Formats: sequence, C-alpha cells, structure tokens
Amino acid sequence: MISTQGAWKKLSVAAGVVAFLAFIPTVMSAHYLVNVLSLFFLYVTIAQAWNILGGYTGQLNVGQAAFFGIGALATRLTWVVGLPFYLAFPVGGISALLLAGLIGLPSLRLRGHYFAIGTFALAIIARIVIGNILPGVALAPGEYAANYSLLPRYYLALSLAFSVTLVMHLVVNSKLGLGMMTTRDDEEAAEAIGVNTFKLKVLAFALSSFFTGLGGGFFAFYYISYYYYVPFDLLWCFEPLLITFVGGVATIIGPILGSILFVALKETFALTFGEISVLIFGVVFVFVVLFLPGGLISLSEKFRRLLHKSVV
Amino acid sequence: MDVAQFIIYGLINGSLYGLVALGLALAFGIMGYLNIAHGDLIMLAAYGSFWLFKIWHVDPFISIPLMMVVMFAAGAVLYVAVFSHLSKFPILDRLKNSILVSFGLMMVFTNMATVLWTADERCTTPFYSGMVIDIAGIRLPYIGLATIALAIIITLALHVFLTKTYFGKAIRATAQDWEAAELMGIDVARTYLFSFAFAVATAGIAGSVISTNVVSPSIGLDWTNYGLILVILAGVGNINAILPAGLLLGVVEAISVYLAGVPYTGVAGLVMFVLVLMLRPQGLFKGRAAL
Repeated sequence: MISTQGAWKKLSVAAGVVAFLAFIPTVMSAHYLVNVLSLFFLYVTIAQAWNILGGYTGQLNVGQAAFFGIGALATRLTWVVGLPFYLAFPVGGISALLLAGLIGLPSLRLRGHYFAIGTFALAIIARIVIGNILPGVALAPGEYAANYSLLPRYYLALSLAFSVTLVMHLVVNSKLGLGMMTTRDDEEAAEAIGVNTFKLKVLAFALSSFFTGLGGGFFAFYYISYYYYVPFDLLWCFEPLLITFVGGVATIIGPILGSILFVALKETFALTFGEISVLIFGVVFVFVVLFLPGGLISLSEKFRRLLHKSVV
Repeated sequence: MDVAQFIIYGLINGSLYGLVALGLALAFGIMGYLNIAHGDLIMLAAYGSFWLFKIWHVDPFISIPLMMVVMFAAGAVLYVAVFSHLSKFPILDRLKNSILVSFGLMMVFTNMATVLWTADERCTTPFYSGMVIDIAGIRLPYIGLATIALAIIITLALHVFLTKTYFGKAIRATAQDWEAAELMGIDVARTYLFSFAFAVATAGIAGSVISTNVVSPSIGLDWTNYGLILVILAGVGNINAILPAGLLLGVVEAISVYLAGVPYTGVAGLVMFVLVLMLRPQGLFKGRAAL
C-alpha cells in the first residue's frame, strides 16, 4: 500500500511536471517542440488506455485502431456537421465505448487469446470498410482551418494525457484495480474468492476504449485534413502496445517513459529513415518481452537495488 | 458460367491460403506459439524467390525447395534466438508472449524489408505466367493449377509424415502433452526446434508461389491475417482441416466478390472468422485433430 506521504510526494511531482509542460508554449514559441509534445501526449493517452486493459487486466487488445479510428471519425463528422467541438470531442469517446459494447463484449466472454485475435480482426475489418466507404479526405470545418492555432490543441492533449494518467492511477490503486490484477494473474482463483472477473474486464475495457476514443477525437482536432482511413491504420494497434511494454507494462510511469522514447526515436529519424525508428523500437520491444518483462522502468528498480546492496 | 469461373479462382486462392496457414497452424498446434510474423516470413521468402528469379532466372517453382532450406535455417535461428525463451512458460502465457514477440518481429521484418528493398510492388514473371487452359470457356491458369496441386501434395505429405514416421509421431506426442512426451524419452527441445524450423520452412513454399503474384514489404500482414482465419476455421491443432478450410474460405470469398465487388474481398473471410470465433470456437471441421 502507498503511504499518504508517498502519495503527496507523487502528486506534487506530477503537478510540477504538468505545470512545467503547461508553461512551455508561453516561452517557447517554436512550433516544432509544441508539435512533438502534443504527439507525445497523444501516445501517452492511448498507451495508458491500452495498459489498463492489456497490462492490468490481462486482456490483450490488439485492435485498438478500431476504437481510436471510430473516435476520430465520430468527432470529425459531428464537428463538421456543426456541433461545437467541446461536444464533438466526447462524442468520439462515447462512440468508441459503444463499439466496445457492441462488438467487444461478446469477444470478452471468450478466453484469453481469442480476445486478442478477435480484436485484431475487428481492426482489420474496420480499416477495410472505412477505406471503401470513405475513400476521401476528412477536412476540418472551414473557419477552424482558417485560424488554426496550435495552443488549444497542445493544452487539450496535455489535459487529456494528464486526466487519463490520473484516472488510471486512481483505478489501479483502488479495490477495483486489485481485482483487475487478480483477474489477470489467475482468473479461476479470482472467481473462487468472489471477484466478479467479467464485470472488471468490462470496466477495464470501457475505460480503455473511452480514452482511446477521446485520443481519436484529439487526432481529429489536431490534424486539419487527413484521409479518413488514417486513424484506422493498423499502426494505431501496434504503437500503444509497443510503447507500454518497452516502458513497463502494468505500471503508470511505463507508458509515459515508453512514449518519450518512441517519440524521441521517431523524431530523430523522421528526416532520414522513418522506418529505422520502428525497426529499432521493434527490436527493443522483442528484447523487453523476452528478457525484461518489467520494461525499462524496472531497470531503475534493479539499479537501485544493486546500489543499495553495494552500499550495505 | 461466370459463377463457375469465380469459383475456380476461389479454389486457387483457397489452396494458396492453405499453404500460407500451414506453418502458422503447425507452430500453434504443436507448441502453442501464435507466430503473427509468419506472414512476414512469407514476405521475406517471396523476396528471396524474387531475387533468385531476377538475378539467376530461377523459376519460382524451382526455387521452392531452395527457399524451404533457407527458411528452415532461418526458422532454426529464430527459434534459438527468440522463441526458445518462451518454452519455459505455461501454455497460456506462451501464447500471449509469442503473440507479443512475433508482433515485434513483424514490425522489424516489415521495416527491414522497406529499408532494404523499398516499398515498391514487384513480382516474378516466368514465361508461363498469365497462360491459361481453356475448358468450355472456363479459364484455368497454369500457376493456379500448380498451386492447387502443390497444396494437395504438401498436405498429404505432411499427413503421412505426422502419422507414419517415428519423428512425426514424436511431434504429435509432444503436441498433445509435452511433459508426458518428455517422460517417454522424447527430446522435446529438439522436437520444438525442428517443428518451429519446419513451420517456417513452409513459408518458403507459400512465399515462392506468392512471388508470382505480388511482393512488397506490406503483404506480410495480409497473409498472417489469412493464416489466422484458417487456423480458427479449421480448429486449433487440426492440421488436416487447414486445406479444406482454405478452399471453403476461397470459395466464399469468390462468391462475395461476385456479389459485392472486389473492394470487400477481405471482409467476407473476416466476418466468417468472427462468427466462427463466437459461435463455434472449436472450429468448423469435425473429426479427430491431427495433432
């Protein structure tokens, strides 16, 4: 259990970091950094969302692109039709939630790997169908495109990443989170001691898809024009998963650390070889899954222990 | 007549799907490894076949045994370097971790191929590509007929190997219960190594055939996708049902193309897949599982 003092310390650190990030655009007018950070916040959001279901509850959602895409699609469409953005944004989250209820729930009843395979199929179906139905470019409403400003987007992404992290932190440190981890570690044992595993899986799935949908909503807000299929691209299935594992699965800091590395790698190679960054990240990912199941975050713990040992 | 032509194409595609799914089904059935990177291994084999054709004018069907040897070696390396580390896990964790690891490998292979050979689409063009036999207005492409024959031969050979030879029986025993097999004196580690390498070697067959169609770094995922569909349709571990499941998928797909048009080709299979997953997760085909 976390002591109150530890919790306060963590909270103050988090508040400091968020305040610092909120402060950046007022000093640094360089659009580059603001852009990169916005992307970073997006990755934090969807990686945290993946983590609650895949990391803490043990249900591998390999089809996150479908939920991300439907969020982007719903937000963009309602926004274009004339809904103000502050209403269109939650529509994205809610539509992902609906998709989870409609298609995800039956597949959650299936055991472990069938859920993984089923969600993957869902993502591919969604990608093909959207590519066929909406082959064109999604344009933002004219007046917004005309006076596009990066700042509201930056702050939206920051608050999204912050709130998803906060919610996940609260959930996993509650009784619910404990139940989720029990479900992941041993479903039969969890059932035997009276944990309603299905309910917890549904809750984790709902949280995960809602925030993923909001991430999609941000995508629709951030980019003025994109092909409708882009947020449905299967990359959106892979990246949050890779990020979470490299950083540290089933930890709150893991997805953040993973996003930092991912975005840094991506930006380093963006101008030369875009593919190299994914290649390196893929190798690191395989290595982490095989030899470092706790992710890079567990290195610091190991290091600390080593240090402690040598001091004592 | 038109429908008959579509069904012929469906059968041809279906036998190719069968070849593609074989390796995936073997690794899944024997070791519990779901190798999502199998399609990308097929992609790499297809490139191998393409370069053999391009540089030394080796016929893609001649390059099948060559690519099988190459892919067998690659599979052995891949097993020792990566997948052997998963064999210590209990079966469900093995599955999960193999999905994750092969997920990463998929990214690595796809991007490696893009860096090495660019994203251009290529194909091998042996002199007989595009040639057809015309029977009562129905066109039977040479390559298609060869694909069907190949799929049948490989499936039968595999069946004989698994049921009649000593090593095949050892593989089946290991698949059923590796701990018991180990107690009976079977070298499980070696059986796993061979099985995995052989599963990857089948990617050499599929890859060479696919090189006559289209090769690009992004084809891997599509083929993995077909492989997964077939594994679920056939039922996990039911190697004998892979080819029938492939033919069924091919025909259903062909009919859906006939009715709904080409853009939705992939959807028919996936819808079938989701339905089977929900209503009949043990697979469509009855009978004893081959493994």
